[in-house]
Amino acid sequence: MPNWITNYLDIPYRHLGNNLEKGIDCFNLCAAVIKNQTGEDLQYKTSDFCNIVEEDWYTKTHDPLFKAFDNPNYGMLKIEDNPQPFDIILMSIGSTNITNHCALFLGNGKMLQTMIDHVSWITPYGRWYKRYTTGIYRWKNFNF
Amino acid sequence: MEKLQFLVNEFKKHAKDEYPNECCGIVTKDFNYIRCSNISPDPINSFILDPEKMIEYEDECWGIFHSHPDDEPTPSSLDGKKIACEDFKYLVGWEDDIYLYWYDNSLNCTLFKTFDESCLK
Repeated sequence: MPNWITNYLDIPYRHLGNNLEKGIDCFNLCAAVIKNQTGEDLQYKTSDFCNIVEEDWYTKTHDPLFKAFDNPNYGMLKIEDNPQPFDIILMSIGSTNITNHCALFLGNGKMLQTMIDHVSWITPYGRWYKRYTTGIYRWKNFNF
Repeated sequence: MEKLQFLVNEFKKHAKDEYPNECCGIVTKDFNYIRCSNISPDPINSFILDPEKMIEYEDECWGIFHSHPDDEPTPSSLDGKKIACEDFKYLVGWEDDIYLYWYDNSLNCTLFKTFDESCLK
């Protein structure tokens, strides 16, 4: 793992939050790490995707989060397999069938994520999370 | 556009003047901004608009603004639950990020959108 990763661990979860100390949500965390470590600005924050305040927003809507990812003008490219560091993994977790979660792939089969009732942590991107993956996306300027 | 920018500037100035407390005020139907007192016992984390002002401007009130100093500019889940009267618009924000919010009874949640020109129609 890169040394800088410790700056992004144990951050409290907060839906719509965008603060690395007070609280942050899954997408804003991915965007913050990419911005701070690569200088690339994804231009969006969670409040641009999600207009529901409550933490259980995904039980109240059928609107998938991250619709912009499939808009070719936005700048996210869908990857078929083999994620690379700084790819964003979209997932559908829990009983809903909409894409409601994302994590940042770090390499070596690991990813960084946060969610309700958690602080940000590193977890293996293994069989369990792969089962819930709805897409892997790479920012346009990351041409490896 | 002028009215939108005027209001956002008024919100910003008032929010800065009351910092670190939350500020609150009334937006009138002709889109002026009336600064009100936040009489909450915990003004850093919440707001209660002075009811005397509310009575004074009842017939002219278009909406109610409050600030989220140093915090997420989006509404809190408590903000939505506090909307008892649906006659007014509700606004919240910090610096240039201002949102209109409302409580949706059918979804049982608080929705929000960016405060823009379309909100003033």
